[in-house]
This record gives sequence, structure tokens and C-alpha cells, in this order.
Amino acid sequence: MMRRQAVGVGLFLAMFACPGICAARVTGLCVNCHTMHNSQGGSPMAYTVSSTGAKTYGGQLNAGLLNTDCVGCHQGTNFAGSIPFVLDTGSPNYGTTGTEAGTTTLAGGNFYWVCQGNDRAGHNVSGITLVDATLGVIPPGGTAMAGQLTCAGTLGCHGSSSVAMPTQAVMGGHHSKDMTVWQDGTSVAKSYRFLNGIQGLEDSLYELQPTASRHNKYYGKNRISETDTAAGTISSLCARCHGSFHNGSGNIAAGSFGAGVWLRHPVDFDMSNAVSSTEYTTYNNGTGSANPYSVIAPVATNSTTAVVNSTVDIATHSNNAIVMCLSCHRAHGTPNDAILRWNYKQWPQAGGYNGCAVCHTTKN
Amino acid sequence: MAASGRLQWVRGMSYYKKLSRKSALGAGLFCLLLPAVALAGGYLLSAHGSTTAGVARPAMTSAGYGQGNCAHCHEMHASLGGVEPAPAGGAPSPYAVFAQNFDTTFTVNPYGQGSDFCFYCHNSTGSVQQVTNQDYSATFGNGDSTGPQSIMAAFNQASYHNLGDIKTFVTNNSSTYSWFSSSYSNPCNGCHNPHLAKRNWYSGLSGYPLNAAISKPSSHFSLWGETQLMSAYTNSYDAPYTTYQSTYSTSYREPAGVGVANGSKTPDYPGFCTDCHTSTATIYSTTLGRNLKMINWTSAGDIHGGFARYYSTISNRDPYAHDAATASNFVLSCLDCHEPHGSPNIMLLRRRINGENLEGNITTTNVMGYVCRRCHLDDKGAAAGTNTLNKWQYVHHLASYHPYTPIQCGFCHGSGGPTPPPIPCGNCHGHGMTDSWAGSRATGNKAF
Repeated sequence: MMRRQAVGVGLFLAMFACPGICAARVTGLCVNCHTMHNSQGGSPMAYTVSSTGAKTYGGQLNAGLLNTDCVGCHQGTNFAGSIPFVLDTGSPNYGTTGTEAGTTTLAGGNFYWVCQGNDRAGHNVSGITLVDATLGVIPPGGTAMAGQLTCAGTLGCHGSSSVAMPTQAVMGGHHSKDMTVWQDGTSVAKSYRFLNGIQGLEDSLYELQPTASRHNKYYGKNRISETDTAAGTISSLCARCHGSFHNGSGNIAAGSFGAGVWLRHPVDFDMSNAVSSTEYTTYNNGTGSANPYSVIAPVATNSTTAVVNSTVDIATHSNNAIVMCLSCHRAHGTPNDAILRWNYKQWPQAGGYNGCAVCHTTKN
Repeated sequence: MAASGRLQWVRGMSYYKKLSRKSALGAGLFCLLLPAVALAGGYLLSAHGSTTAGVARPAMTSAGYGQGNCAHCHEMHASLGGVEPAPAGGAPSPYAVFAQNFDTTFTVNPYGQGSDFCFYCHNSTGSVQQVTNQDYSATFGNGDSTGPQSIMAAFNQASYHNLGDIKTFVTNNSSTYSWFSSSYSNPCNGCHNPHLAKRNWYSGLSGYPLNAAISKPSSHFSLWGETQLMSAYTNSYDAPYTTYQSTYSTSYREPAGVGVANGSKTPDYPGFCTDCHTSTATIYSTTLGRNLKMINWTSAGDIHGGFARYYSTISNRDPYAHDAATASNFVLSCLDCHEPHGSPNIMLLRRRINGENLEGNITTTNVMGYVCRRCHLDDKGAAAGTNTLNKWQYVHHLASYHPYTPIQCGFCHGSGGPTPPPIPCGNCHGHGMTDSWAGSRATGNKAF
């Protein structure tokens, strides 16, 4: 009887000890994340984790009474249901496109490769790696930042951009997140992946080995003007730093946006509306109607429902074939230069991969 | 306490690990169904997409981009490592190519690499990738290498396909050529699709010599000339020699000596060229200061086209002299006489035709006979009449089928005594012309 009770209690504790992050807000014991006094038996509890996985206790107190910082918590090797790990101390399995069976990276990729010294393989986030040796703090397509990129805050991507401290910038987000509903961007918690103001629907497995019917649903806008900043779209987030690659007069289109020709590869534009070519009709080997969604070269949609879009319609101009920055790039890092989803650089030579052909179907 | 809690948390993931295995199996099955995006297609078969001879911009090659990669021509963001790679123009360019597509201020030649995007490479002195391309006479006519060694050099000759005029014409006919951007497209694209065009001259390429480099402007997204062949002009095409044979031969035929007499290895160039050069299209030539002659290559048009010949035998040279007996007609390919890009002669006339070089440059239509005598017997070839090179008394007055009885010479030739001056060829011979110039002596026959 006692043994059964013990097992039952153990299971109960295990349930709560495992933060229920898969579908909703963080749950579980507070001590999993917090330390009240940074002391246990006189020893410090707060720690930081280096990019190689080495823990350092007592070096600093972490804001929010946290045991550790962003990197400390989100460092590890992904498996289904785990915390979303964005930095692996060993080489992650990226496969060819980061989507295949056995791969261990998520939608954002992984910072592992940029930590290995290839500045072009990831965003150079403070606490993870050094400042980009070539770019410094000037993001391509943008202007100089006030300092090195951080995970969150004024210099970061996640959380409120009006708060400098990363922890404070995402404050409350983890406790209020509900991944089952459309993220409308009205608060940090209600923003796609805590990217404040950005909309979207979050895959419960963070796109670990995604499929056409299980993936993030990215929000995009079919723009009709290159000066439209497309607030709320995933690409508009990138534009905070890489603005000239997204919007601005004379930056994207020559002539009328969408009806002229492109100066730079467009984003926040539905490729079904392209006038210069019909090759997009066969996106991802489809026929133009209900083309299968590609997790290799995904597209955004203007749909704001909590229903995952498993198909893409080109023929009907349904605003679900919207090109976005993440159609080609990942946010954190990949093994490929320019944080591309696939090894475009080497294509068509051996070892390269032409993910571009998912959309540019005649260019294979 | 906290440490053990963390351990417990990790152990609590066993269910998810099982789930992970199932997911892996599912994902594995999914991957079997992944789109085969890496299969070879139109671009990889093209000259630009070749892994061994394709595009290779030094700035991108040094950055590690593979030969044939799109980035050698296109810049997705006009940025590489935060700066615009060379050649840097200071701003992104239409179609995201690395430089301005075409400079419309170049209304006539000479062109430079800054005038046309293609000339950064198709230029013997290009700053990006120097690509050697010889003219048709050399490439497919077995001519020597004294001609132009690049496409740009070909355009910078005495006569040329005026790029600005091409752009204007295609723009003015946007209903037919809707893919073409009036402001930003490159006129070279009027005839070529850079994502499809193959190295038609390279004998090592499977399919040679029928690897098309051209796309009809009205069908820009497909190649022309791999299945559209001169042999379709049934019993009417006779491929010219690449090296003239004094004894008739079915070999040594264009293109490049590997052609077949009936044209089964020759693209249907009339079908291609008449996409623009129709019997009704008005095409203005800035170079000439006039509209070009309209071309009717149908059975209602020129004799050198589909119009039925007047005589079953005529004073031709081989291979036409020999094959005249079995051919039902002779329909020529445009490139039997013309270069596509440019020529040292007027009217883009080739410097080598039917296996022999022209004896002189064609600077006016008065000496156009240098072209004609490659296939027709002049007095020298016939050893008759004046027995002089590029004199044509025999075919006009002496041959068995002669059209003009030699009386009252001065009516046509003017005064000149017993050896009247020749009549300028251009008075009667040219696309769409008859001998109406001869007035009452005219036969009314077509004269070209």
C-alpha cells in the first residue's frame, strides 16, 4: 500500500516537475526555474551555462529570481516534448533541411554552428557567442545597433523591445502562454514565441521534425506597397533590424510593387500574385490548388485561426502563399551561411541543395 | 533539492521519448515523400546552370558559391556579409541581378559591359566572367577564328541586331510578349531565356547539335529548336556545307559538319525569327534609320522561303545543284545567310556561307553578289558570260532559263557600250522584292 502510494505520489510529482510546456503555459514546481534566496545549504543556486555546457554557480544573480538565464534553460538536445532547446553543446542533427526524420533542431534552428566560429551560420547573440567579426553590430540591411544582439529586450528579438533587460522583457510570458490558440500579438504572452506584437500559431513541438499538417503557422501579409511595414507579420520582426530587406521606398520593387519587377527578393507578398511567372503554381510539386505545404520552404498566411494550414492555394489567390524571411532562413542558426535552411551556397555542386525550387519550380 | 527536481523533470520525459520514436518513424515515412526538388531540370541543363561551365562571378566564387549558383547573377538582398558584392552599383537592380539590365541610352553600338548586363560575361574583356562565343559562321559554319570572340564583340560590328530596337519592338507588342517588362527587361531575353538556354555549340553536351539556346519571344518559357527542325519543311531544306565539296556529298553539312542534309539537325530558324519578323510587323531600325523589310517566308512569300520555285533546275552550286532534282522546293534557314547577333557585312550577312568565306565584305547591296555566289553560279562559277567574279550576265541572260532576253541593253543597264555596267543587285533582290524595277522588261516574278 505504502509502495503504491509512493509510486502515485512520485508520478504526481513527476507530472508537475515536468513543466507542461507542450501545449500551454509553464507548469510545475517553482524551484525548477526559480530560487528564492540563491542559497541551498549555503551554496549558491543561481548559475549560468557556457556555450559548451559548463555551469558556473554563484557568478551572478539572475533577474526574476531565476536559477539561470535564457541560455541556461534553453540549452540541450531536443526530443519531442522537451523544452525548446536552441543551443546544443554537441552537433545537432540538422539533416539536409532541418526537417527530416532524426533531426534535432527546431523551427529556429540552433546556435551551435555560430558558436563554432562561423559568424554567418547564426545570429551572434550575447551570452552565446561573440560579436560578429565582420558585421560588428550593424545588421545587413539596417543601421548600427547600440550593442550586441540579445535574446530579448531592446537589443533582442523576444519580449518587449521597450525593456532593456532580457528577463524583464519576457516577464510573465512563460506563465501566461497558451499555445493552443492563435497568438494575436497583444501582449508578450500572446505573441508568437514571445516575439512581442508578432502573430502566429505555435506548433506544440516547436517544429521538431515538422510535417505538412504539423508546423508553425506563420502570419504574413500580401502587401501592395513596399512602404507597408506589415505590422504583426513574422517578417516585420526581422525588419526591425534588417529593414531594407523588407520594406522602404526603392528597396524592394522597381515600379509598382507586385506588378513591376523586384529589386530584392520580396517578402510579405503572396507569390500567387506574381505577374512575371507562373512557376509558383506548382509550389511544392502541387498543381496550383491545395498544394501541399512545404516545411522545407514554408510560407505565411493571413489566416488568424488556430487551424494549421496543410495546403497552399496558388490559383485562388487565398493569401496563404505569402513569402516570408523564414521561407529561406531560420532565426537562430543552421549549418549554412546566411542562416539559410538548406545549403544553397554549394548548389548546384555536390552537397548543395536547392530548396529555392520549392517555389521557383522551373529553376531546378 | 533543485538539482534533484531537475533530474526528475528529465526522467519524466520518458513518455515523450516514446512519442519521439513514433514521430521519428512518421517523419521517416514523410521524408520518403519529400519533393524531389534536387532533380535536374531546365536550369541545370542550361549553360548558366552547368556545374562545370556555368555562371561564376569571382566575388561569389571566392565566397564559396558553387559554379552555376543563382547568386552569381542574382543578389537576393543586394548584400553579402553586409556589403554589396562586386561589381557593386550602390543599389539593388531590377530582377535582383547584380547590375543594371540594359542602359537605354545605348541606342546604337558600340556596346560596353555597362550597357547590357549580359556583357559583363559575354565579353572578351568582361570584368566578371569572360565567356568566349564565336559567330555562327565559325561555330556552325566551320569558319576560322578571325571573327568576333564574344557576343558583345559580335554586336559591335558593322551590322547588328540593335538591342534598343529589340527592346522597343517587344515593348510595343506587349500583348504578345507580356512577360517582357518595358522598363527593366533585357533585350537579349527577347530571344534567350537565360535560365533555359543551353550551350548549343558544345559537342560534349548530350543532344548536340540540337541543344537550344533560343526561346521564341512569344514563348519565352520554353526552348525553341530542339524538336522544331528544318526537316519539317518536307523535302525542301538542304543543309549547306560547312566545307565546300567539289564533289557532291551528303556529309560536311551545317551545323558544324554534323548536320543532316534534310535539316533534321538544324533548328527551324525561320519559325523562330518570324515570331517578330513577320509579313506585317513594322520594325524600326535606329541603325538604318528606316523600317526593316517585312519577311514572308510562307508559300506566298519569298522564293528563298516557301514560295514555289520557278524552275526545277537553276544555276546553283552544290549541294543545291545536285539536290534540286529531288527536292520539291528550297526553303532556306535564316541562319544559312545571316548571323543572329552581328556581322562585318551589312544586313548581318554571314562572312562564310555554304562552306566558303565570302571574297569580300558586303558594304552595299551592289556587292551583295559575294553572298549569292556561294550558292548560285555567277559568271566565274559558270565559266560563261563575263567569266568574272561576282558578275551575273550568265544567269540573267544566257542560261537556258534566263529571264531577260539580252536586247536593248541600255533599257536596264543604261549607256555603257558593248560592256554595259552591271545593275545594282539591290534593285531587284531582297526580301519581298520583285523585278518591278525593270519596268516593261520586268517578268513580274519574285526576285528573292
